[in-house]
Amino acid sequence: MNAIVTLNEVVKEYRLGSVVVPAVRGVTLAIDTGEFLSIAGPSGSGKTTLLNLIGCVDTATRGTVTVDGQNTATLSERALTDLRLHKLGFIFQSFNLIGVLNVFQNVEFPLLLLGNVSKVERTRRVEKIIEQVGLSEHIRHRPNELSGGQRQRVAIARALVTNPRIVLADEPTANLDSVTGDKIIQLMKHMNDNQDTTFIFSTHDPKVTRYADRVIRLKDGQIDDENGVPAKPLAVSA
Amino acid sequence: MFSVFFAEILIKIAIRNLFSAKLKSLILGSFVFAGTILVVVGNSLLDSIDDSMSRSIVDSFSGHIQVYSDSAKDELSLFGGMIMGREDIGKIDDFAGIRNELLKIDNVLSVIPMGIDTALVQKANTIDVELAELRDAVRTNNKPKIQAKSRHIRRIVGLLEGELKNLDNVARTKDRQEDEEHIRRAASAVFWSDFSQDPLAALEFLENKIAPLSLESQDIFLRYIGTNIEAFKATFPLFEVVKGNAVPNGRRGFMFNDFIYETQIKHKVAVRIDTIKKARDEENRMLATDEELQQLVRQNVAQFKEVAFQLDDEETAMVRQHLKDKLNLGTDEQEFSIILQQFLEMNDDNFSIRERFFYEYITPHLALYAIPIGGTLTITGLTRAGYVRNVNVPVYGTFQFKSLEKSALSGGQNLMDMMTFRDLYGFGTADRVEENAEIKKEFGVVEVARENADEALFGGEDAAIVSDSATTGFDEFKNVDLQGAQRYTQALLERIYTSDEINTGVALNAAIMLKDPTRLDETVAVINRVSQEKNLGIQAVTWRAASGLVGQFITLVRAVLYVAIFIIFVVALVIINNSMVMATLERVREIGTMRAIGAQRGFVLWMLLVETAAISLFFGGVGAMAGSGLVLTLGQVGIPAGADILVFLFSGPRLYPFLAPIHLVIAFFVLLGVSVASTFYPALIAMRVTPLQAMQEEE
Repeated sequence: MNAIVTLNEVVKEYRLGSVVVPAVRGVTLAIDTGEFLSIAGPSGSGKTTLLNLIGCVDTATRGTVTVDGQNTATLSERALTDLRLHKLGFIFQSFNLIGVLNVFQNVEFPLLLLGNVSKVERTRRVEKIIEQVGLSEHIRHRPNELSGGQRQRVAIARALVTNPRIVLADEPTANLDSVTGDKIIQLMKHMNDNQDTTFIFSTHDPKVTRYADRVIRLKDGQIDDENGVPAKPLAVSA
Repeated sequence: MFSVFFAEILIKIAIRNLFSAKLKSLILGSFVFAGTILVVVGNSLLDSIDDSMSRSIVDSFSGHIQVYSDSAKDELSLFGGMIMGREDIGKIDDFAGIRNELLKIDNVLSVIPMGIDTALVQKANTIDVELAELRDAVRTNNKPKIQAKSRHIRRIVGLLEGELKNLDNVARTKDRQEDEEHIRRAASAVFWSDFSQDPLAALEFLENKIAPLSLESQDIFLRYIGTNIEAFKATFPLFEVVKGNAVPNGRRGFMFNDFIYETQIKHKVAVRIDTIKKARDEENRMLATDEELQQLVRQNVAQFKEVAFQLDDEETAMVRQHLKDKLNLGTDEQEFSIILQQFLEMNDDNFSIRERFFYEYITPHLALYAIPIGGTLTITGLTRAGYVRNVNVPVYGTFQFKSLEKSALSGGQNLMDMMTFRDLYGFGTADRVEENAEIKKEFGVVEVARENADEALFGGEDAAIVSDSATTGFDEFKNVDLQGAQRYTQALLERIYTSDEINTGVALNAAIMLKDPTRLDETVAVINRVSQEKNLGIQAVTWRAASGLVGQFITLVRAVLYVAIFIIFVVALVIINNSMVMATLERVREIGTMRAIGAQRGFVLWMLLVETAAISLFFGGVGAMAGSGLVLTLGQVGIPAGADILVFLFSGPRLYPFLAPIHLVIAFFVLLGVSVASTFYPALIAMRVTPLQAMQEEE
C-alpha cells in the first residue's frame, strides 16, 4: 500500500509540573493515501494528541512520525510550518476563522501564504471551492454573519483550497447539531471521493464514524482494536 | 520571503483589525496625531523664530560675525552676560590694521569697530549711595573716606535746602515744616562738626529723614556701543533715526535708543500717562478694572512733586488757571498741590481729556526729557584701570531698530562715537596722542620700554626719565585729568575726525557683515585661521555665540520642545505597546490558527508591525498635514507678538512662520521609530504563540 502517514511506536508525554502524563503510549499505524479515516474514542483517550502529531503541530517524545515521506522529528520549526502549509489542511472544532476577514478572504488566506499564486488563479480557485461547499451566496459575508454549519464549510474550503495531501479535522462536528454535523461529514466524504486527499478526523460521536473507511479506536493512549471496518451506526452505545 | 502577496494580506488584516477596534485606534491615533503636530509646528515655529531673531540681531548691531581679542578673559556677550559687572573681553589695539586684514578675506563685506560698555548717567539720587558708603567708611573707620563722603552729602543737603526755598509759598503743611527743620539741621555746621561724636546716630537721621526727601530718581545705567556711527548707519539696515539727527559724520556725539529715551529719560509722570494710554488704546485695558494701571495713577498722585517742583510761580499760576478754565478743577481756593493731585487722579471717563491737557498745558513748562536732544550728556564711566571718568557728549537724537521699536531687548543699546568711547574707556585717541606728544616735548621725555625701565631709571646714564607707556593703555598719568573740563571744549566737540582717525586706535570688538551669510561658519573658520597665521590676536565668533544667552534662547526652547515631544511619544509608545499586548493576547487563537495553517513567525511579526505602522503613519500623516496647514495658515496670518521680548524674537510685531520639509521627514522617522519600538514586546509574545493554541477549545 501507499502509506502517506506512518507512526512507529509513537509515545507522547506531557509534563505537568513534576508529573509526567502520557497522552499517547506507543501507537503504530499506517494511513494510506485517499483514506477517509476516523479516530474515535472517549475524551482524554489521546485523539487530539495523535492528530497534532500527524498534523506537525507537535512532535513525538519517542518513536517516529512520517508524513509524506518526511520524519517530522528531523525537521526544523520552519520546515514543519512549511510542510503544514503545502501538504496539510486543518479543520478545527471551533472553526477558527479569521474574524476580520470575509468568507472569500478567509479561504484565500493560505493561498496568499503560499506566495506564488497569481490573483487571477487565487480568485478562480477560491470561487470554485466556495461553490463546492455551497457558499457562493455568502462569499462576501463575515464569519459572524454565518451559522455554525456555514462557518465549518468555510473552514473545509480553506483546508482544501491548497490541494493538500492530508486534511486533519479535530472533532469537526462537536459544535454542530446532529443534522448539520451529518451534512458536514457528508461534504467531507464527498470531497474525499472526488479528490485524492486523505481525510483524518477525530470524533467521539459514533454516528459520525459510520462514514469512515476505517476507524481507529483509542483508549488510554493506545489503539484498542484495529478492525478496519466502519462501525455500525447503532452497534456502539455512547 | 516578503512578497507582494504578503504585503496585500498584511495590510488587509491590519486595516480590518484597526477598523474593528475603532475606539482603540482613535485613542492611539490621537497621541500620534498630537505628537506629529507638535514635531511639525514646534520645529517650524522655532526655525522661523530663529530666522527672524537672527535678523533682529544681525541687522541691528551684531553683524554676522563678531571678532574680539583672543586673550579675552570672558566671552563676548553683546546683550550682557551672566557675569555681574562687566566682562573683560580684552581689546583690539590696532583696529585699522585688523580691519585691513579682515577686508582681504573674500566673503567679508564690512568691518565696524565697536566697544560695548555700561556707564552711569547722572540724573539721579546719589544720596542713598553716598550714605551707604559713608556708613561703610564709619564702620571701617576710614577717616579720609569719612571726610570725603561727609562733604558730598553735605553738598546734597545744601541743594535740598535751596530747593526748599523755592517752595516757600507753596506747600506749608505740618509735615513740610518738620522736613524743613530736618534739612536745616542737616545743613547746619554744628551737625557736621558733631558728626564724629556719634556718627551712627547722625547716619540714621540722614537715612531716615533726609534721603526720602530727595525727589530725584536713581542713576541710570546706560549700555552703549561706541562705534563709527557713520559706518554703523550704512551697515545695519534696521537702524533709523527717530528724533533729532544722527551724529554728523566724524563728530563726537551720543544717540539714545528711542526706547530708553521714552521710558527712562522722559519725565516719569509723562511715562506713566503714556503707559496708561498705550494700555487703554492698544490692549483695551480699563483703569476701573486693571490693578496695574490703578497703581500707575496712584504713583502719579503720590509723586505730584515731580511736576510741582519744576513749575515756578508764574507757571504754577498759569497751570492753575488752565486747570480751572478747562477742567473745572480748583474752583475754590485750594492749595495747588491738592488741585494737581486731583488732576492726576485719572479714571476711564476723564483720561483722554486729561492726557491731552497734560501735554498741551503742563509739559511745555516741564523738562519733558531729563536730557534734551541738543543738550549735553555727562557720562560717568569707569576706565579699564578703574578710574572714574566724566565725559560730556552732545546728544544729537534718538534711533531705533526698525520693527523692533517695542522691544526692550534691542532697545537696550545706545550709540556713541568711537572717540568718546575711547576717552571713557581710557584709551588713547587722536587728541590724546597729540597732547601726549606735546607733554613729552615739553618735558623732554624719553621712551623707555617697560622691561628696561628699572635699568633706565636706576642704572642708566640719563638722570630723569619718565616712562610713557601709551601703547599699553594703562598710563596712570593719563587718567589724572589735569585739564579737566577744558579738554571737552567746544572746539573738541566741533572737531571732525576722519575715517582713518576713527579707525585708528583701540576697539573692543568689531562686527563683520558678510557678502554671503550662508557661508557663516566657513568664514569664521577662515578668520580664525588668518588670525593664527598672521598673529592678529583676534578670535571670530558667530552672531549667535556673541549674543550669549539671547543667542542660546532658541537652543534652550528647542531642548524643551524635544523633551515635550519625547514625553508624548514615550507615553504613546507605552500605550501602543500595552494595547498591542492586549490585542495580541486576545488574538492568540487567531495567531495559532494562522501558524497551524502555515504562517511562519516572520509573518506574525510583520502583521503586528504593519498594524502599528498603519496607525502611526495614518494619524501621523494626518497630524503632519494638519501641522503643515497650521504653519502655512499662520504664515499667512502671522502670530502677533504679545510681549516685548516676542517683538525681538519675531523681528517685528508679527511672526510669519514658514514650513521646512525637513520637519516632515523628521516626523516620519520619529513615527516609524515609535511604531517599531512599541511593537517589539507584543511581537515577542505573538511569535511565541504555537499552532497548538489554535486547537484549544474556547471558554
